[in-house]
Amino acid sequence: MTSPLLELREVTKRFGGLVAVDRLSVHVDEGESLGLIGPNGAGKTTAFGILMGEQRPDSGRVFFRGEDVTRVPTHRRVARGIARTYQIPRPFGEMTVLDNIRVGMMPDSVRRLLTERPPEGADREIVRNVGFGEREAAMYPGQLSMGELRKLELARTLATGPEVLLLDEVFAGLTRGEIAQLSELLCEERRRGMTSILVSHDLRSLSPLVDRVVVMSFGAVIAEGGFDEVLGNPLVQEAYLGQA
Amino acid sequence: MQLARPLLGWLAFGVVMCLLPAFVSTGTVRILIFANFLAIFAMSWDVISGRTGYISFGHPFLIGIAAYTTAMLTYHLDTPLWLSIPAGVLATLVGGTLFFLPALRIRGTYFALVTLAFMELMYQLTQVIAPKITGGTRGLSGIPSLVSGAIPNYYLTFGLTFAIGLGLWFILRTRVGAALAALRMDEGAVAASGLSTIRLKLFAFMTSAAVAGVGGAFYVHYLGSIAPRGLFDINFLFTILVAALLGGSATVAGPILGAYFLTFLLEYLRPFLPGPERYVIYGTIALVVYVLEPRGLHAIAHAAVRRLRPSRASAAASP
Repeated sequence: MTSPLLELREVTKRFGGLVAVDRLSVHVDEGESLGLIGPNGAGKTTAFGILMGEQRPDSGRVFFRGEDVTRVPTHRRVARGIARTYQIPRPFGEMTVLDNIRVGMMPDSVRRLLTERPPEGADREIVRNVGFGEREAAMYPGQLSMGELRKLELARTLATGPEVLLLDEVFAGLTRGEIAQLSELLCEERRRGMTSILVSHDLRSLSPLVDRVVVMSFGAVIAEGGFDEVLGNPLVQEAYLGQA
Repeated sequence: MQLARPLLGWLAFGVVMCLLPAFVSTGTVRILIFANFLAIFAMSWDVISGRTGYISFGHPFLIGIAAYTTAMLTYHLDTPLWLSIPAGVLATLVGGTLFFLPALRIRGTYFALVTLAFMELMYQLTQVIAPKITGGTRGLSGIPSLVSGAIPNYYLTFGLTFAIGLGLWFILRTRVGAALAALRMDEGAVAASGLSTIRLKLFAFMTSAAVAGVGGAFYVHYLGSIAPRGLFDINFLFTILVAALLGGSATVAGPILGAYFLTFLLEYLRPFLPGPERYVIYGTIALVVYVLEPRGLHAIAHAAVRRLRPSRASAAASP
């Protein structure tokens, strides 16, 4: 049996008295697209933070390709192939779209940063792949719409050469047109074999993009399976709508 | 072409500054020497604080390590300057790393306060620990000079300023400069882009410390004396900060521009305001410039050049 590509095993994270993630076990297999859903405060973003090494779990382990990476710092996890976007986009505000993407392509070596020139053409290829034109490439994040900011975040994440993408609230604040455009991009990545975990409150937009769904509530998994299956689960309905 | 224009700018700056002593008084040359030292210190401060956003209030601490090391080596052991100056720079790198590196794990006000504490610590240490070696409160005097006379010292200090400025410009125009700028904007996003923020900060700090060390070591041999009150002084610290910010932080030319502007401003105010009230005036001027153009004199100069260019083009086009 092959091990999952990325896995949280029995992970707990507390913030003072609040248990944000409670003995959480989630995994994603290679090439799979996993939806991670749940009401506000369910612990989805904390789970992403732990997967990326931005937050250290109080207990439990994180595995990537079967290797324990719990204590591996964020930048090394990115080098191994884990990358994320943020719920609120975090572009480098004083850099153009193209320069933002170039940061994602930088080697993690001061010597190489000093001596090597950026790879010709690869940056513009990513720009084109996410649907930006030359005009947008020269723009600053402050001039972009929320949809374009999300595309920029995705582009910078793709520039790191990931094997697994963690996409946090990827449709938040977008118009229907922007959602359709971004969904098409994600479908394209999926066709290329990209593994991904998507967090979204927009279940309608999420459903065609995922193979499997994990539902979280109060830091723990309450349901898992196909989209229709989990949405019909009374525990899930209770978590979203409250007890009747 | 991208490289040619800035290099021409550096060349022009070098030529003008080399010819300058022929046209100004010896008094002005002596002021320029201090301006050169301030430019070195401001460039050093800017590498760590302007580029990465880690505001250091402890730069006199770094300058002081090199200055005291070379001063003590030459004063007590008659060490030749070619050995004591590199030893001073090395001591800054080692001592600074021991103190600053743990501090680079904290951000914002806390980092600034911790580094301020380093400066105060150094002030106390030089007086309390082995005052026979450090000279205690009175410091050390009679430290040998590298060269004597205003003009040779001017060329020595300008040569240093120019070499450091050009060196930093070459380093910071590589992708390292962009990575450090990204660090200032969002450290978490830099890590999420696959870059070690610790390694980048360490590089910025080592570069900054090396420049501070070179400046500090040459400074003490120019002055010929060293005393803790003069070096670990809040006014000295703020003069460095204001020079960098006023000139334009996160640039190389800005701190140089700010240093020359500030040094001459302070000197020209001296006959009218001989006391510390001068600092109120320069503080006010710095504030006004900073409010009008937060990117400093460098941006003002850039805007002026840009405004001149189209008019020149249209003048050329017109018959």
